[in-house]
Formats: sequence, structure tokens, C-alpha cells
Amino acid sequence: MSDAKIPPSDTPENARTRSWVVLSFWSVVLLLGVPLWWCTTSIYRAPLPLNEMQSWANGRACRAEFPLLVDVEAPLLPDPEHLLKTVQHALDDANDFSAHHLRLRLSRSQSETSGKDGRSVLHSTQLTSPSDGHSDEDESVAAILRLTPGESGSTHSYQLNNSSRVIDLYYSPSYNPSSTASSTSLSIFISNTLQEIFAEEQQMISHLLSSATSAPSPSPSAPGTTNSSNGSNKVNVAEVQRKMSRIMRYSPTYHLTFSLFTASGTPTSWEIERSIDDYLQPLLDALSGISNFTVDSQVQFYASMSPNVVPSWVPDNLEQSENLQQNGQPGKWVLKRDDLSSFINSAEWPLASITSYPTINFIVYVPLEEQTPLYISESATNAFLLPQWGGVMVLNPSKPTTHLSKDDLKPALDIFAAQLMSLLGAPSHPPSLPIRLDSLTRQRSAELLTSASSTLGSLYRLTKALPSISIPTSVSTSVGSTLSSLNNACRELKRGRFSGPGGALEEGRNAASQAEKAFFEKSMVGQVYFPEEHKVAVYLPLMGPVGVPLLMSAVKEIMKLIKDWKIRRAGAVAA
Amino acid sequence: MRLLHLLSAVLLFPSALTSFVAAADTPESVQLDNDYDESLLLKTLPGNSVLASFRFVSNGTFNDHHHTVFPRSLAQILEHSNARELHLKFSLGRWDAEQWGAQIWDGHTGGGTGVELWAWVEADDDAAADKRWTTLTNALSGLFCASLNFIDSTRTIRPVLSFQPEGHHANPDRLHLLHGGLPREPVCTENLTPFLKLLPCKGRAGISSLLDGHRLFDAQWQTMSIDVKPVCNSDGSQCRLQVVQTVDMVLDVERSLQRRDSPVPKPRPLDQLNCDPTRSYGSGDNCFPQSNLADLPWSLSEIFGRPLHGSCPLGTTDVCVVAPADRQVFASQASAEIKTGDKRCYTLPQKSDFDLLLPRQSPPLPIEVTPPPLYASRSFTGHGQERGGVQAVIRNPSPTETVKMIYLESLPWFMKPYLHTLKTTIPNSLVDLYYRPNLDRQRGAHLEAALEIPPNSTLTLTYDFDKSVLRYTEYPPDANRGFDIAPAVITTDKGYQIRTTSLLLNLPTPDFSMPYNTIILSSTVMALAFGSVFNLLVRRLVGAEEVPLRGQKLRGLVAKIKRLGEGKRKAE
Amino acid sequence: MKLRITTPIPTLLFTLFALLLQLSCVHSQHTSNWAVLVSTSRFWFNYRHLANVLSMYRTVKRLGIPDSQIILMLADDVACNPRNVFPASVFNNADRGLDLYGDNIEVDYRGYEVTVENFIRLLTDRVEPDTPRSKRLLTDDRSNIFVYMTGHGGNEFLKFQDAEEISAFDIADAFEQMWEKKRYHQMLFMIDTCQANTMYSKFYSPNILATGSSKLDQSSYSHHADNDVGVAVIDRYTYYNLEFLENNVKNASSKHTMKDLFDSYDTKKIHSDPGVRTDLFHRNLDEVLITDFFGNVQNVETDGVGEDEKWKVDVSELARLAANITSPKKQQKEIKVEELKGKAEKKISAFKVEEKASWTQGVVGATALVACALAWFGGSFMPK
Repeated sequence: MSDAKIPPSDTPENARTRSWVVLSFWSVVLLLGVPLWWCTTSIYRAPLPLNEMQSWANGRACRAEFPLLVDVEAPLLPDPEHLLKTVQHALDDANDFSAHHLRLRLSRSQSETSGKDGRSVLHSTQLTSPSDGHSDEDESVAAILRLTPGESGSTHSYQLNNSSRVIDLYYSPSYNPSSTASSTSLSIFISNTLQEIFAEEQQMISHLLSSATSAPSPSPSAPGTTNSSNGSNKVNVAEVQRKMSRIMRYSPTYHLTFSLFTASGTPTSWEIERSIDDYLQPLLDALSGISNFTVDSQVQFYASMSPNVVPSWVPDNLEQSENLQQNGQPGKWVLKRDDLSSFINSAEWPLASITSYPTINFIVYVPLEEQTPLYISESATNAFLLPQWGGVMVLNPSKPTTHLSKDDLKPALDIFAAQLMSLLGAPSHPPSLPIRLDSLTRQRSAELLTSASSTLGSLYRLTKALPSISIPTSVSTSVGSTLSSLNNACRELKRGRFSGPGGALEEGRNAASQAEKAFFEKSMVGQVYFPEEHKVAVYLPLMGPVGVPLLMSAVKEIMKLIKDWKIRRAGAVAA
Repeated sequence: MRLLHLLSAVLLFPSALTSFVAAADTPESVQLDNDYDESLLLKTLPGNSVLASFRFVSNGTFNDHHHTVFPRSLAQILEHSNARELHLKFSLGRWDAEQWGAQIWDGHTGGGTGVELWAWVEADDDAAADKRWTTLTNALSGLFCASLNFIDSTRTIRPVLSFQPEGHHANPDRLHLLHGGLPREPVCTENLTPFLKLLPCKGRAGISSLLDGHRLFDAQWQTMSIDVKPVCNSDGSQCRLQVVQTVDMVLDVERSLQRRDSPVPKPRPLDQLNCDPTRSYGSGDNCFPQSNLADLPWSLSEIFGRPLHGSCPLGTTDVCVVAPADRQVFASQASAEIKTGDKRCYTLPQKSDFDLLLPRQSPPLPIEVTPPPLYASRSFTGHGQERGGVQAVIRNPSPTETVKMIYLESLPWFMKPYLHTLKTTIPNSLVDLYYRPNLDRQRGAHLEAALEIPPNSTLTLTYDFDKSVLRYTEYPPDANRGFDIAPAVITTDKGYQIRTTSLLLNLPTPDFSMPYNTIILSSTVMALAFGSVFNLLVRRLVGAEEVPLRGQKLRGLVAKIKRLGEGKRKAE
Repeated sequence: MKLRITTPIPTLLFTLFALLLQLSCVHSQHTSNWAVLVSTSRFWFNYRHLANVLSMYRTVKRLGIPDSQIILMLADDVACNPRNVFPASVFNNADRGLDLYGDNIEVDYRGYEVTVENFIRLLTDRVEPDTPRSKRLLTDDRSNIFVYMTGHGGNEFLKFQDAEEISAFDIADAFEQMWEKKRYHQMLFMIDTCQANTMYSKFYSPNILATGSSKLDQSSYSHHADNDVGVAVIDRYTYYNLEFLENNVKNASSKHTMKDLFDSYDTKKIHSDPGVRTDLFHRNLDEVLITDFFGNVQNVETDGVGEDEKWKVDVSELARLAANITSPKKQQKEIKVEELKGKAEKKISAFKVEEKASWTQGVVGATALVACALAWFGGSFMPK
């Protein structure tokens, strides 16, 4: 029924034009479209020095050392160098944690004079050596050991001054430098003394450095599995962990809030400003090398305790009372220890601060007149401390008063000062304040070093685990600055420069803050996950109608090319 | 120069410990004698409503980090953001000016529906002021549990005439006034809780023990406001930082009493209805309610749901009732009464509960209400989703006084007014006009008009605006509800402030439930557009007769079916 | 420990203390408890989701977690909603015995602030710079976190306010980031939506215990409705959880374990299959106390007997010692004199609209128009 219909033949120019059209469409798609799509949909990830970050996180980049320099003054000893060598040997042998070690050094002025005439001439500089121990060199001295003969008939003893770094060591007058037994016993005594003084600091630093090198472990580690060295002082690792959970995290600034909470309407005022200025401000100034402090105070009235905290009445005369009712007999109200956990009625007591740095709260609580005197069971000071938060003291005024004077507040401030020192992490053992502050500086340097390193490690693992997060350039700048600060800190530690400008603490502070800034970069919110259906839905309307004709025409052109090539080949063979 | 330093030192460093005998001005503005004062004012309103105004005034010192009565959290926020004067208002409801008259405290405590905030911030230039404003709004949002952080540059304006600083500032040239509002913000117990925490007596003693969210948010109109400003005494020798916290509410007595009896409002049984016997048409089932038969009895513990626990020992407490002189008021025993005209004030007992009782009064006593200087209302005109108009009707009821007022509008950026269409019905009433046009997605329009209304006349202010189409992501989750437009603020030259109601603007809203339909639509468009062009370029077009037919089998089938169908029809 | 037996009370105290110390050493190594409670639904008919979250809020508050450690996200305001017959009250039971809103409530994120982005920012602490502390999750590596989410969900997603959705992968990635930055010690993830168990199927970070209300292709149902409120007031899964907690865990010293809680789930009552995922949680469930997540642990240190010298410090002596220490920066008592700074630059302001009757503007406009018209006409006459 149908004739053989043949369409009119196609001119070669038309065919070529058609091929060119298809080719140009494809070239636009491939040369312009694909790069554009790639540029606009790729996520910008700034390059990070991943290897360096990882090595810092594993603790391989820096072997932190805490060399403590101890100046020894032994004016009346004939051969101090020999004694020092023995003591140094004893110290090194007994030290399990080699990163924190003591280095003994003969005091310079003495070594000069003893060489001259064999007798020591006490220069005036020695007597009035500055208490902060800064020498002309870059290092600062951790302690000064002064060896003097004790009273006759006494054994070796030592005494630590409260206000300076001088350790007065009195050796027994029967000490004979030439006899080895005597010198050994003295050197052992000196090394034990020095170790005892710096023991607490060493435990803390070893714990900090060792617990930080591992990635966060999934299982709740039982106490004792951390790789800390026990040292020769029978360290209780649980004690160290308890301290770690008490101490506030380091921050360059702390905010101190002193609050007077009274359960009724009185007292209405207190002389806190003068008390702080007189009693606490010098301490805060001394601590300003480590952290700054801002202070404020408030008074809150009608501050009742949590409803489930009910103090019980304990009469004074325990045998005679059968019923524990307050019937005019003398006695006191007692709070049990497990009541203390819910003492702070956070629902009603306004304790929040808007500062971006952490707050340490100190509360003086004045109970209701009907519940006075209120005591905490088994507490000598009627106060308690909340780890990483602050301290509370219950004040029982002798008579109902509307104003608390400086004298009334002194016992509270005594306790708050002690609690502040322990919350900041200052070791309690050596009674000398300068040594405690130096220990705190060293501890905080170690803490900052490890925290910055572990943040870098977290960032490293994060970039590996989430390939779809964008990493802006500010992050790489911060990481670079962190790494340089960490390197500086490591160097300064080795040199023994802990405090002061450019010291390990300041470099560590910079490193930690830059690392936090890099990790908590605001724009690094994870890309909202696009399920596959959404991707199909976005691309299909564009790719479908555009892609199918292009593809089909490309296929057709290629088939035509192949056919032509076959014909030509057949023609060539035939010819 | 040194004298200047000295003067500024004197002005800025008052000593809190020196005793002061300050000549106090009106008790409302300067109360420098005490650290803390609180007062409760109860006023009976026509229609069996009671206006209760709680006012708490605390005085603190400048630049001092040690606080007693002044709330520390607020002081910290002010210091952090360098704000020198702050006014924050949370409001709900509508003040019925026709029935209740002029607003209490000259309208200064009431804000627009939702949240309204304005502050004078000290800064060197505009950019620093904006930054400090952001700090202030964020800090306040954390303190008051409100989304004040949404007050960003798109909602902030710098009013020129409407607001004047109420405090005494040492260097007003360095202050920037910024104003923002959120008309959509809900106000609920989570805003009342931090408000009460700022008070010294904390809801335990004194008048704050009456504040209960369940009654406060059942009121017909309620507002909570916080005003912080520096105040100095008359000779400027002593300056303190004062925070005035106010809670005002209008409670309906009948509704409160009903709630006490049954928490769920249920209709009254037929025999208890008061029907108007004078209406002739309809009887039996029809009942025209007769209102205002009597002044219902109420007491403090009944309408607030809890008794007043004594007085706050930290300062003075005043409870005053304004009721017609013939109305009886009974107070609990341990309190003394002082009567001045319509106002009866009581001193509260120290520790025991205090209650006031107003017995039933039938027939009701007439209550005098002062008419406000202006009545204002605002509404939309026009129809459609492209454009509309705003109409503000302002009436001056006074027979003799011309009222000079300032009308402030802060519009969102998607509502674009046309300034040339701004018209007023009374000629020559527009004295001054300040305008800042809007920029898409950056800032809204700011319109301030100074108007004069002659006595006994009504002014209608109208202007047209265009509505924009927003982007897909800019619509809120409940876009079909509409967008709230902040109330207009009207300030008279005597300092009386009223606000109109907020408006609900309907923008063209897409149907958010059809993303796949739009995908299909767009792919069809793409197919037609690209496909046609491409096919024209690439395909070779020949006549249909020149090509062998394809699909012959299909055609045969179709032809057979056609013949079958025709056969059937022929058979019928 | 040698006990000095005087009266029964100190003995009891000692034994209690010892017991607590024992327990605290062995079981709970966390030092703080946080809760993140999220309701993602808007509109009045989703009252029950807000009631769910508020019930959980009330439970954790009752067991001691302070408001500063609870992040409450409510996507809508239902208590002061004009449709609520009981203003400022939210109930989770038709008997209306307990008002969940109460007098003391702090909502951290409300209304339009409850978005997927804000939720992820909250978890990873990548917040805007000015965000107040009450809106941040300030946890550390010793904090236990309880995350509760409720709303409308589906297979591996959860709808936020009917406008956007969060996927299970997003939450898993956020938790992984928290783990990397040591922001939690252990986490309990509880979710009450349709197909809830799919939401926790993608977690891969350790120390997460997850539980959901229904498995894949199963819906979760509401429990009952209140005729006066007008809508359903609580969901089944949450209802039975609360029933267990209210009846058995009465205060923070309860010894019930998570295994007890999970064993109490009854499919016949809940009308769906609740699931528990424990493979990431490396502790036996019968050793984990419910109060590890729902209650608050607050360690307290006192100077007990024998530690008399612990806090006895003479602060005036300490001040004297401290004054001798030279510190690098002795803070000068800056006199806070506001140096008389100059006037502030104010460039942004509304401009005054003046009716300019001048005709210069008209002339300029007319000239411009004429020039353009001439140019156009001239161009059309030019040769091609």
C-alpha cells in the first residue's frame, strides 16, 4: 500500500552544520557548565597542616619539660659541689617522672667567693636576695636552699618561710663532710625534702600530661588506669582525680561574685567592698600574673533553701532529751551532708552572670532567726565547697542585725580565700605563698599546653570525619597561630621561663584561645544533610529536559560517524 | 578644665553611704530617699473591672559593682552594653479608652503588643551604637526568656521626636536612641519569673506576693515594664541609678470570681441570667442581657488568688484604693487607713496577711473616668495582595484644647509606603514630617509626623503602601497567619503616650506544600524552551509524505477498532 | 573507719556517707547533669508535644537539675495562647491535677528560635558571639546529658515547626562533634515521634544510650484528650515513662536503674514498639541509675573531722604576704573618669521632609527629559 518513500537527500553542509551545532552545545556544557557547577557547589575547605596537628595531639611534637632550678647556698660547708652532685644523683634516681625535675645549682655569688679564699664572704646581695628570685639570666629560680648548721644535738630539719622561696635547711652539727655515711644521709635528707615540697605539683603535672595524650576513650576508665607515675610518695591517683574535678578550668579572667543570701529580710547591708579591698585584693593582685579577676557582689533577701533541705534540731544536752523538739532548750540546727548537694536553690537564687568568662560564686548564707544557729554536720568552719563552682558559708550572727561589718565578715573571707586558692588549683602543701603561685603557674602552663594540643587533635579528627563541612580561612589562620604559640611555649618551658611576658603561660594562653577559636568557628555548622531524593529533585528538572536531547543527538552523531567510517573503510577495501 | 573634671566627678560619683535628705519631686519621678519603695494602686473601673498597678522602685549607685537592692543582673547588662537608660515593655491586650478613660501613669508603662524596647546607648558613632544595641538585646533575651535577639537592624529605628530621655544624663550628646519592637512575641509566665527575681522581696512579702501568672495572663489588658534611668535630685548633688518595675493589669471581676468557682468557663443556667425586661420583642428563649446591675463584691485574695503576705521590710509599701467615696472598703485589722478624697491608702502589717474587701453595691455607683487627650485607632484599607493602605483615625475629644502630637510608625521592610500619598483630612494639621525610607532586607521604613488636632475634631491620616514578595526562606513557619506590624506610637506634647493596636498584614504567600509540583512545572518549561530551540537547530525537517510511515501495525489496529465502533453504531 | 557511736544519727550519717562515697567512686564518674528538651511542633493541635516536653522538664527539675543546666526549646507558646481556656497553665492529664507551667519556668529558645540550625549550633557550641550563657550548652567531658525530642517525625527525619526537617545524620554528626570536643561523658537520647527508632539508627559516637517510641513504619499515638482543653494532652510513650518516673523515682537518691525503666515498657499499652539502642553504651544497664541522667549530682567538699586546717587561713596574713609579691601588672586603680569624650557622630537619622516650593528641581528634570528625547529622535534619523 505504501510506496517506497525516500526523503530528499541531505546536503553535506547541512550535515556538517548539524554536527557543529551538537559539538558546540556539548562544548558549552563541558567547558563552561561543568566547571561552573563544580565551583559553585564545592565546599571551600582551607588547607590545614594536618600532620603537625596530629603530632601535637599525640604528644609527639613536644616533649614537655619542667626544669626547676634550685639555688643552693651553703656558706659554711667546705665542699658544696660534691654534696650537690650526690643530692642531684639521689633526686634523679628517685624521680619517676623525668619531665618534672629539679636542678640544683650553687648560688653564683657564693661559688665566686668560695673559689677566692675558701671561706664564704656573704655579700650583701646574698642576704637581701630578692624574694622573687629573678636572676640576671632568663631563668627564674624555683626555690633557694640555704644550708646552715642547726643547734647542737639536733638532727637534720628544715623550715619553709611563708613569704619567700627560701628553704632553711638545718643540718646536724655532727655532720662530717668527709665521711660518706654522713654525707649520704644528709644528701638523702635534702633530696627527700625537696621532693616533698614539690611532690604535689609533680603529681598534678604528670597526671595532666599523661591523661591528655590519649584520644577520648569510650569506656569509663576505672581509676588507676591512667599512665601516671606514682613517684616515691605513694600518690593516690584518686586524690589527684578528685582535685582535677574540683579545680576550675583555666581562664585568663575570672569573675568573682560574693553574695549574701538571707532567708528573711535582714541583714540588709554588709561591708563587703571594704572587706574585699583590704583582705582579698592583695591576693588577687598577686594572682594577676596568672589570671585577672573582676569582682562584684549582691544581696538577696527571702532566699529560702530548696524545699527538700530540712535541717534537724539537735539539742545540746543529748542524754536528757527524748524528743527532738526545740522547746526553749539550747541546741542547734544541723544540716546533713547529703542535704548540702541541693542546698543551692537554683530555681530561685539569681546567680547567673552574663560575662563570657567563668564565674566563681561565694555565698554567705544567713539562716532564718527561727533556724539560727545553723551548723553543717562535721564541719569545723561551717562551710562547704562546690567543685568548679564556688563556696558557701553559713554565718550565724550572734544577734539579729541589719548590717554585717568587716569584723563579722572576716571569718567568711578567711574561708573564701582558702577556697579560692584551692578552686584555682594552687597546691596546698608548701606553705610558702610564692612557691605556691609558681607551682600554679607551671601547672596551668601544662594544662594549657595539653588543652591546646587536644583541641588541635579534635579539629584534625573532625576534618577527617566530616568531609562536607566547609573550613573557612580564619580557621587555618587560627591553627597557624596556635602551632606557633605551642612551639614557643615548648621552647620556653625547656628554658625554664614560666611566667612573665613571653613565658610559657602566656604562650600557652594564646595557643589555647586560638585553638578554641578555630574549633568553634561560627560558620562551621555541619551542612544540613541532603537526602538523595532532594538531590534528584533539584537536578532532574534541569538535567532531564536538557540532558536527554543532548545525549540522544550526541549518540546519533557518533553512530553516523561510525557508519561513515565503516563505509569509507569498505570503500577503501573495495577500491 | 580641672573644674570640669571636678564637676563631672561630683556628678558621677555619689557616695551611697552618706545620708541624704533630698528634696523629692513628685513621688513618681524622683524617690531618692529610700533604696526601695513599692506601691499598689487599685482603681475601680466602669463595667466591673479593676485596674491594679504594682510599682517597684529601687535605687542603686553608679559604676559600682556592689549591689544591695538594685538587681545585679540588670546592672551587669547595662554596664556590658553601655546603655544609660533603658525601657522594656511586655504587653498584651487592649486598653479600652472609651470605657476606662486615660491610661494610668500617662501611658508610660504600657508598650505595644508584644515586646517593645528602647534605650539610650552611649557610643562614639553609629556602628558602635549598633554593636552595643545587639549586645543589649541579646543579653536581655537571655535574662527575660524572650526572643529579643530578633530585634536586629531590620527592626530598629532611631526616633527623632517621639521619645525624650527621662533621666538626668551628664553628656546627652553621646547618647544614641534606638528603638525596636516585636509585636508577635508571646508574653507568658517565663517572662514573669525573671521579672519577679529582680525584686528584692521576690514575691514572698509585700505586694509582689500577689503576682500570679494565672491571673495576670487572664487579664483584659496587662503590661510589665522595666525602666532604668539615672535620677538626680533637684540641685544635682546626688545621682542614683533607678529601676522602676511596673505591672499593670485590668482584671474583670466577674471572670475572676467565676474562675474561682469553676476553672472552666461554663455558661450560666437560664434562671440565673439577668434579662432586660424592657425589651418587648421576643420572650422565653430570647434574653437581652442587662449589664451593670450592681458593683460586684471582690476582695484582693479573690481576684488575685492569693493573699498579700505582709509588707516588704526593705522599704516602704503602700496600698491605695481609688473608688467612689460612697463605696465601702474594708481592710484587714492590723492596718491603718488614710483617706484623701477618692483615694484611700493603707499601711500594711509587718508579718500577717492583708486583705481588702469591697462589698456588693447595688445600684452601681457612677465612676468618674478622666477622658484621655486622644483616642486613636489604626487599620488597613484596600484589598488584594499587591498593595494596600493604612488609615489612622485620631480623635480629640476636648472642646477647647488643640492637641499637638507626634505619630511614629516603624514598618517592616516588606511594607513599602509611598510618602506622596500621605494625606490628612484636616488641612494644615501636618506640622513636621520625618522619614527614612526602607531598604529591602536591610531596614524598615521610619515615619514620624508632628500633627496638630483642633478641639472636637477627628483627624484621619492615610497613606498607601506596596507589599513585597518574600523569598522562600524568609517566610516564618506559620506564614499563612500573616505578619504583625508594630503599633503606632502617639505622644502628645504633654507627655501622654498611647499606642494603637498592632495589625496583621497578609503578604502573597506561596503554597509551601507543593515543591514537587513546582519541580514538574519547571521541568516542563525547560523542556519546552530548550527542547524547541535545540530541535530546530539539530533536526532535519522533511515533509510528512516524504517519509515511510512507521508504526503500521499500530495504525492497522487503530483502523480495525474504528471500523468495529462504526459497525456497532450502525447496528444500533 | 572508726565510728564514734554517740547517737544513731551520726552513725547513720557515716554509713550513708560511706555508701554514697562507694557508689560515687564506682558508678558515676560524671560531675554535672544537663538536659536538652526540645519540642519541635507548632500550632494548637500539637499541644501534646509541648505537654510532653514540659512533663520532662518538670521531672528533671524535681530531681534536682537547675535551670541553668536545662535548655528548654518550645516551638510555640501554648500556655498563654488565646485558645487556651486555662491561661498560663499546661496540663498533661485530663484530671488537671498538675500544672506543668507553674510559677517558675525558664524557656531558653521559644517560638521562631527553635530551628534546625539553632539546635545544631546549640549542640556543637558554634553560637553567635553575643549569645547569652543561658542559651548555650556549657558542658565538659564529665557532664551527662539527657536529650529529649518530640514532635512529628518519619523515617530518619524529624520535622521542625512544619517548615524544615533535621535528619538522623545531622544529629549523629553533631554528637560526633560533641564527642570529639569532649563535651559529654554519657548521653541519654530519648525521642517520641512516629518512626522514632530510625532517628537513632545512625549514631556512631560512643557512650550514647538511645531509646525511641516506635520502630520503622510505625506511628506513635497520643494517650488521651481533655475535653475542656480540646486536644490530646500527652503521648503514650511519654505518659508511660512519666508514670514510671513519678511512681518509682521519687527523689534524687532513688536506686532504680535504666533497665527497670526499659523493662517497664509495655507494647500493648504504648501501642507501638519502643526500642533501645545499647551497642554504643559500654555499661550494663542494670548498673546505670536513672538519676545518672534525670537527676543532678552535685559533689560537695567539706572540711570534715581531721581536716581542721583545711580552710583555716588568716586572710589578713595572706593579704600581707601577697602584698609583698611583685606581680607583673599591678593593676592601677583606674579612676573611672569618663574622659570628656567628644560628641558622638550620628550620621544615621530620619530626614526632615520639607515641601520645597523651588522650581530648580523641576527645571533640572525637564532638561533631562528633553535631552533624552532629542537623543532618541536623533538616533532614529541617523542612517543605518
